[in-house]
Formats: sequence, structure tokens, C-alpha cells
Amino acid sequence: MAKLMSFKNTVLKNLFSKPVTKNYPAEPAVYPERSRGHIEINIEDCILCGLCSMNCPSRAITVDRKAGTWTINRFDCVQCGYCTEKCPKKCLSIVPGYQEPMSMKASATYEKPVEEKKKFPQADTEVCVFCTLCAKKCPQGAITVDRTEKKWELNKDACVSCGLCESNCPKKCISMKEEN
Amino acid sequence: MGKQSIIPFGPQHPVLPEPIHLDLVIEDEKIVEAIPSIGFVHRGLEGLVKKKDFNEMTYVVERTCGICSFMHGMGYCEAVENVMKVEVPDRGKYLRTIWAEMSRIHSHLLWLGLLADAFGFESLFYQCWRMREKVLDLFELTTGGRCIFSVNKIGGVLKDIDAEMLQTMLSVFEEMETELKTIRKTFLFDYTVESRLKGVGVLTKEQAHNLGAAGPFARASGVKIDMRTRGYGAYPDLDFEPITSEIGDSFARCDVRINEIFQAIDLIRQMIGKMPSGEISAVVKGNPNGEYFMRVEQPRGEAIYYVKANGSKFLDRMRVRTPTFANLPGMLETLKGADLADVPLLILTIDPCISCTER
Amino acid sequence: MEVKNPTNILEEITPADLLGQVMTQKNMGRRLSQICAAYVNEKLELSYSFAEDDTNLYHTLRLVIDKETEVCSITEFYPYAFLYENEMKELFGVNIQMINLDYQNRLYRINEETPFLK
Repeated sequence: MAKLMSFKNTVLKNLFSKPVTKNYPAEPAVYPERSRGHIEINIEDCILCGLCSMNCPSRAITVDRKAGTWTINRFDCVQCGYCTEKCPKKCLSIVPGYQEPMSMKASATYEKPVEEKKKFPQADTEVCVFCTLCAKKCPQGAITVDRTEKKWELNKDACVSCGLCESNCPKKCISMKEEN
Repeated sequence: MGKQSIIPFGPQHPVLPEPIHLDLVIEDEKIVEAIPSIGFVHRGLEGLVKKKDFNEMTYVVERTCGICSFMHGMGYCEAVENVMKVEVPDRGKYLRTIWAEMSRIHSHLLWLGLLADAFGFESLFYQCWRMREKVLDLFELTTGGRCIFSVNKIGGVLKDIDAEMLQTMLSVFEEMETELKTIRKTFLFDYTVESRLKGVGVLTKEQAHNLGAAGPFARASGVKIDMRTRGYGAYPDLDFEPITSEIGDSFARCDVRINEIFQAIDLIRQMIGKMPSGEISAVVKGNPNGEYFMRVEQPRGEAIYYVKANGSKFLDRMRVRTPTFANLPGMLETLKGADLADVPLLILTIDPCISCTER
Repeated sequence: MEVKNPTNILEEITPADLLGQVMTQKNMGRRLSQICAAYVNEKLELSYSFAEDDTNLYHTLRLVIDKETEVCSITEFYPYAFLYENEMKELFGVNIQMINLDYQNRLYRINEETPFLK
């Protein structure tokens, strides 16, 4: 007999219990804290270094340094969170809340307030051992180090002031200095 | 002897979430031969190694499949870690293995639901998927994603599971185990289910070995093949035996998978009990150089990740061999001599994942 | 749990030896685990991997050939190799002869010929 009515108890239980589903949208969906909804940027901290756009697997981010804008195409973004890993200033974060559907792909642009002064790295050539680590780590290739001539040079037009050279220097001889 | 005719099956069919086409040569109601043709969803993911560096590839590999996404990422990362000789910290290994076993639970529950749907037991299908929802909620709680988690990186994992979340997990799995026991009764001891599954699509041990089958499909035929015994991740510390069955019919495949869910819950309990503390990822420096074949046990069977690197940040070759690729020949064999009405069920018993297969 | 994880074996062979070597593997009762191709430095690298399930041994036979070199299909010994061989033929243009079920480059429905040969 059990062979014939094995599902009976489940059926009876389901018949007299509340539905397990939510009455969405009357009752809102609850997302946990870690839910990967969309990328948020704290534009004040952003230095427009472009590391996020270079490393984005779906190329959803564009950074325009001249115009001072950071743009994300939210429909191309796959919420992998790799940009938040790569950001040297940790100004990107992934927060709950999904992108709402739209009839066309649209992007969101954030403008960085213009700053008068910019910081540039400067190596103390007395302490520097010319290990070239800063040049290797520089995302823009703005640093040239010549070990034989003992020269440390910075291309200020290319430099994005990300500070990766400063944090990676084994001798801690690089410091970020303000210049006009 | 009847006249032979050919019936096309797929690429669109109610039982198939994904496209595969079969030309079924039938004689009366019996299948004589099945000729497969795939390739409707080939995306060329492997070709992307030329454009994405080896770190970004983690996210590409994860998107091979929506069910065993985590295991794809894990397999790829372990392959690269083996090339780079990086040792993942213990906690990282445990976290990876917990997520991997949870993926197994959710994949098997999904399959059980689809199976119930294929033999026409709709309400059983809903019961299975209701349970699966709980696992998905746990995934969202711990990783932030429900299908694609993006928590793997070369050298470890990105997110930690704290003690509170581990306790939530334990209580959810406790509850699930009770529910699963009720469902198991219906799957394994019900007259209707038995009449659709028992003796259908028998694959002997010898056939399974000769056709290169993998995973639960092979284990149900008595081939003891389980890549977890290779001892990657946290498996060396855990106590388990691969689950096999000697019968080799569709019912045995169902039996093996249900028992694997219980086994996975048990493994997660063991891991939570032994959870080491410390770092969750190791620092990775430089670029990989060399090659490695990594084999991991996915819910569907043995998956192979081949990585060949040349010392630059772009890999020379990355190859994914998914278990369905290995199981297709076995499936074609079980179709021979089967009734036309059993074809959807038999295709389902290998747990096909066509998008994985074509990448 | 007992861990069985022997080091993977990689053995380089010539196209002429392929069938003999594959037969040796078959006679040892090993299962064909996968075949894959790679295009490195203008050469094609074919890897035929065989697995032993009791010991978890993994043995790979490696062929390094030019694009035009003819390779004989191993479907005679492992009939289910046809999927792998068709894939290699279509994506890398490996010149494989006598596959038991040849899809004539129609396995994957792609417009480009040999897309991975770049």
C-alpha cells in the first residue's frame, strides 16, 4: 500500500499549509547584505586611474581622464566584482539592488569634481636602488627607470596618481607630492 | 520486422532546457540507432584566452555553465595554481569545497526535479525545486550570487563565511535532510516511479567503461570513478566513499544521485566541524608558465581543465572537457533498443548540460 | 579517506607511433579521458589523455605536428573519440583521417573556418 500512496503525506501537508512563495511585488523581495546587485562608485575618492576599465572582463567601464568622467554601462556589467578587487583606492563597491529593465542599453556617467592640485610620485634617488618594481607596477607605464645610468623619470602626462608605485616600493623611497 | 523510419528529436523539446538534436532511427516503437548533432550554442569561450588575461579568465570560465558554475571556476583556478605552484591556505580550500558540495546538492535537486517532470510527476518536481531554492538562498547569503558566484580567484577565495553563516547553513541542511527523506520515499519506493524507471536504459559496467562514461552515470553502472579521491581541495581530510550501484538502469542513476545529496550534506557537516581558521587566499606573484591537466568531480562527473601557459599574462590554451561530452556516447548506447516514449527520460538520465559541452 | 593522486605522465610521440601507443593504452584497460589540440608557435599540439580509474593515473600522449600533417583517427580503438576528433578538426583544422562518424566540419554551427588557428 505504501508503494501506491507514497506522496499522500506531502500532498496533505501542502494542502493545509501556507504557500512557500512570497506575494511579490506586494511584499518586497529581501536581498542579503552580500547580494551582488550593482557597482557603486565613490567618485570623490576616484583618481581616474583606469585600472577598473582595463581589467573589466566585459569591458563595461570607460574612464575618460581628460573630461574627468567615469562611465559604466550597467547592461554590459556582469557583476563579477573584479573592478572592486583591482581598484587601488577601494572606491568601488558592489551593493544590493539590481538594475531595472529599460528599453535600451544605457550607461551611467559620474563626473569627478575638478581638482586644482595633483599629486605626483617622486623618488628619493639617494635611497632608491633602481629595482624597477615601480615601473613594472605602473598601470600607465609612466615611470622609466634606468639602472645603469641611475635615473628615475616620470612622465607626468601619463601619470594617474594611483599611488601603486608608492605602495609597492620595497625601499619606501617614493612619496606623493603635490604640484601645480 | 518493421519498416525503418527516422524521427528528428530536438533541438526544441519540452524535456530539454538546452538544444541537442538527435536523429532517431526507429523500427516500430523501438530505437535502432541515434545520431547526435550538437553545436547550436557554441560560443567559443576557449578562444577568449587570447583576449583576457589569466585572472580575468576565471570569470569567463565560471560563465561556462549556470549550474556547476562554481566548480568550473574552482577547476580552472586549481589548474593555474598547480602551474604556478601556489598553495591555497587551508581555510580557502575548505570554503571552496563547501561551495562545491553545495553546488552538487543544488545540481542534483535540479536534476531530480527535471526527472520527475520528465516522467510526468509535476508535484514532485515542485517539491524538489522548492528545496533547491533553500540552497540558492544560502549561496546568495554567502557569496552574493545565486547562480554565478564569482568568489574564486587564483590563489584562494574572495569571501569568507563567518561562524554565524555556518550555523545558518547547518540548520538549513538539517531541515532539508528531513524533507529529503520524505521525497526519497516517493522516488525510490513508489509504484508509478518504479514502473517508469526500473529496467529502462540499462548500461552494464563493461559498457560504461568501454564508452568512457563519467560521474553518477558511470557510478550507477558500478564503475567506481570519483575524482574527489584524487584529494584536491579539502577532500583528503574528509571521510567518504564514492556511491555506486551495480544495476545500471535509470532507477539506479536516480538512487545514486539521491544518496549523493545525503553524502554532500554529510561532507558539509564534517567540514563545518573541522573548519580551520586563518587566511582565505594566498598572494600570487608573476605569470604562469607550464601546463597542467586538472580533474575535478562535478555534479555530472569528471571535468578536465587543461591550462597551457607561456610566462606571459595570456594563456596559450585553456580547455574545458565537461562530463556531458564524455557521457554522450553512453547515452546513445542506452537509447538503442529503448521505446520512443522513453527517449526524453533517457536523455535526462545523463544530466545533460549542452551549453557546458559546447562552451 | 585514502588519497590516490599520482603525478600526471606526459609522453611525446610521433604521428607514426600514435596507433601503436593508443593500442597499448587500450590493452592496459585504460579509458580515453580526453583529446585536445593547442596551437602554439605555429605548431599543433595534440594531447591524448588516458585515465586509469583504480589508481587515478593520468597518462597523456603528446603529438607535435605541422598544420598539414595527416593524423590517423583513433576511433578504431576508442569509437567514442569521434566527438573530440571532429571538434579538433573543425576548430583547429587538424587533418584527421578516417573518423568513423565524420561531421564534415558541421559539428559546431559556426561561420568561420578553424577559428582557433590564430
